Amino acid sequence: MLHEPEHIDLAQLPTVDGGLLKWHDAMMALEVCAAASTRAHKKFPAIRLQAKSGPVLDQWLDLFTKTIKPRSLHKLPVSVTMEGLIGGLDLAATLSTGKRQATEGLLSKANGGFLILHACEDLEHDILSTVMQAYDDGHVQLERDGICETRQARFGILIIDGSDPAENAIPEQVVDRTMMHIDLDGVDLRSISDQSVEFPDSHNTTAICGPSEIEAIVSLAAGFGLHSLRPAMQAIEVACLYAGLNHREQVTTDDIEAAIRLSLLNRAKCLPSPVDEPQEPDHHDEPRPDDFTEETDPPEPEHPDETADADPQEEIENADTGVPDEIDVETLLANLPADLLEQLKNRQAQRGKAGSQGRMGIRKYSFKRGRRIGSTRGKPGHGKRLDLIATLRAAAPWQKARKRFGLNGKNKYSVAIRPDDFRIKRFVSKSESTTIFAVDASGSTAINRLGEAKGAIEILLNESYSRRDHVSLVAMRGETSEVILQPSRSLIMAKRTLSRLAGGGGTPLAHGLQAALEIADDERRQGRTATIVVLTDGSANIALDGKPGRNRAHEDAMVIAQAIGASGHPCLMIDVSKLPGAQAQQLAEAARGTCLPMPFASSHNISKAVLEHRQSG
Amino acid sequence: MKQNRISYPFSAIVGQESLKLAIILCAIDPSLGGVLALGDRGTGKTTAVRGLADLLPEMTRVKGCRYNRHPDDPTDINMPHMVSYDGKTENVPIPVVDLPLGVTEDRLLGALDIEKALVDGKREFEPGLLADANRGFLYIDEINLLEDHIVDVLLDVAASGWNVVEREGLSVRHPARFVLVGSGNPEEGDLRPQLIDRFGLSVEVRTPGSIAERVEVIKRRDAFESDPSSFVKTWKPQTAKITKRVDLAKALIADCVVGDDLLALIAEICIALGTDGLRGELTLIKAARAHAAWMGRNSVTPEDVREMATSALGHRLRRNPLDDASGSVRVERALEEIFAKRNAA
Repeated sequence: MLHEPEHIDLAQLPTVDGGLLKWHDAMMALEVCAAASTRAHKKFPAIRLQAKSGPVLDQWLDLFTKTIKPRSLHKLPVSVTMEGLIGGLDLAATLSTGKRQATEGLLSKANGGFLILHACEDLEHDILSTVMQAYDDGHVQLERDGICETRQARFGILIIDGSDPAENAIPEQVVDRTMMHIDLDGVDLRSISDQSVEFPDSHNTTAICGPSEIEAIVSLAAGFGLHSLRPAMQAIEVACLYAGLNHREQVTTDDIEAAIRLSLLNRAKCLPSPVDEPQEPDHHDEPRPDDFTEETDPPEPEHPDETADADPQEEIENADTGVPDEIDVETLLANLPADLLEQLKNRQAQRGKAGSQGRMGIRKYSFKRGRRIGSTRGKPGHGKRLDLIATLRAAAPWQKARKRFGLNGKNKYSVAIRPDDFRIKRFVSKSESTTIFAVDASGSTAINRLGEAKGAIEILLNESYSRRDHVSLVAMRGETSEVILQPSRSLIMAKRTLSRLAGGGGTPLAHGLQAALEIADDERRQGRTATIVVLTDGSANIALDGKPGRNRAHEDAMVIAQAIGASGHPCLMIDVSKLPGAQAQQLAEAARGTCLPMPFASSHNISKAVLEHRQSG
Repeated sequence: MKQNRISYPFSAIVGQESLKLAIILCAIDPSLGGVLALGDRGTGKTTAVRGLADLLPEMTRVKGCRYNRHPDDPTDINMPHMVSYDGKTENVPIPVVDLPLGVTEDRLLGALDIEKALVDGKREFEPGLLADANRGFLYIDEINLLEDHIVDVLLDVAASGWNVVEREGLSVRHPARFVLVGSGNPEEGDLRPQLIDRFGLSVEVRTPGSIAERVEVIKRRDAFESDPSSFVKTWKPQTAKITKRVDLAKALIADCVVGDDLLALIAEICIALGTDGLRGELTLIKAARAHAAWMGRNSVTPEDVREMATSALGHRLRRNPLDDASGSVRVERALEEIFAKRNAA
């Protein structure tokens, strides 16, 4: 152990040198990880490193390899296919031996070693879930191409998280399963250069986490807004491992602090409520584990039934007040990186993103690209690809007969294939659509129409839900517009966001159109067709730069509308003003879209209009 | 499909009462149509569902039959691709088959045995997971992420109870009556309504809220992970108790009557909620009956109906764009009204 936490006086460290602290945590994580990897019968750890590629990350990875000495390191490429991940039929081996042979997938190859996940926010959802299931179970179940096997896949995960929380955050299901979260952003090479690292070869002390310590960690995890139980369990493990590294047999407050820093802090969703707030005498006042700082006999807090009948929802909301240990929270708050709150805000804004990963959609069958979905009889060539396994399957039953007629070659194992046997791969491509709603939520006109607009969007949401479309919402109000829902297919998420939308302020039409256009372009890049639906009265009064003024605002809006027109995204302008005016019409023309006045339109009419528009466009 | 790993004992699961109840009722009456567990991450959905295997008795099948044929079931006819029934039977555990996300169609439905075909030139059918799951349970974790074309074939077979394979020169059919059990997190993607409708009961799973309960979950989990076999041994008597109660309930359920007044009540609830079709009614009747039997009674009471209405109907409501409330909340509301009226009368 090089860096006992006592050796660094946290209070005296200048705040600018947060890098040193972060690096110190990263080293601590490395040790804990090393200890965790040696445990028999337990899962290998998963660690997330928030870092951009660069020398600091390289240095850490280098130390990681030296310290952990993983049996293997496998990178999981974003383009991995299900077959590459879990395995499939090994055609060459099957043919040459006459026995069914399977290839090894990445997950079973990684058995005993570590899997490196780069940009896991870009992985297909089913791929990611398969990785996570294998990680949970320690084995992978292969049910493909006539092969049925269960293989060992006990691996650790190293997540290199270079994601920008404002763009596309790392999926929650990964964060939830990751034991340690290390932030290397802002660590400078100078603060790490003169660190030489030595690690103990064996760390066999197994520490025990007492009941009150468990309780403290559980309440802290809840206080950080981590409602899933996995983070708390992981934090307890980290505390035990850290205690073991320090040759302690019992987990102490130091270990708990380490666990918080390594496991909980960097994924916190909110901060525990301030300590100076008077704590209400609420449901869990009985097993209050403040006592454990006194290092006396911990009380027996085994009363699971006492609170079992309390309403769970209410409990979750009150969980923050259950933060038991004041000392911990204080040191903790002092140790927080300065930009944590900012990050939290970003993270909260991004919460809708978690739902946007599922990428199924309207099917567009193709023989050329997309996801594999089977094969059909046909001739390969012209971009159509031969499905060798299916072809062999088709040819197989006839081999005896063909042999009899001497249709196969001289080789005993050769297979006679006739053109009839050819099977070509079929794919289904991601031809999905995204509907982007830009809703005028300004105080002026939309106030009496906002409810109606919401109703229309809800109906569209339901329809797009059954078609598995993605939906995105942009609210225009006040001085700027705001993307209140990133493209998502989750109905629940969309409804929640929509119901929270309140009106008020000016009409920053140009800004809203711009935001919608940006989303549409993004969607197009991802292979989806975007439709922009604008619900507005057309009378913009906030210019692109956020300054009020009708003329400028209208000019700006026209410019963006023209850009939409040039981009080729289908656009529908719905005039929600009481008396349909020329402005919305002008905008629609500029955007090469359609304008639909709806002074008396009901929600259903709007939704009908959008569908008709889409079909014709 | 042999899985030798030790699964977490059902009886040791803390809280999650409604999910546990739903699983128990499915074990009592498999014709209920399976359980769908939707909810947050890390709430132990998978653990609870896997615990189902603990509660199931053994079943009798034709010896060596890969399709789990019952020797006396007249619909399970002999087919050339099956072992013929010569009067020998065997007892095997009721299967709980895992359907992994990466499954291919040929492994699900069964396909030509490529090895036999290549080596011996024989055209033989290699049964898939649906054959393994016949008369048992088919469990799909992350069911909302299952590929669409797999869902299509699954729905097709589930509706008819027969798996018909017409491909690669094969023409095979075999019984495939299974109970679907699924779990998933709705925030990661919604489920197709047709698939939701396949499930008898649905349960929304939440993270335990109280600190004490959370601590208990973690302690038990830790104990299980550090020494699975002795943990299972410790909980064996408890699990045996539940299994015994399930057996008693199974015996009771045949005689369990649902009175006409209760049928009227169930119809009233379904009409008030506007559930489509009669599946909701039938499921609620069955669920109430199984609940009564689980409680050791041979007559169904209004309380049984009330207890089961949310999980039997919550997922069958039409989505109402102007009502934000989740299905279960709407069921609760309707129940409150109807029961208030009843009590007043």
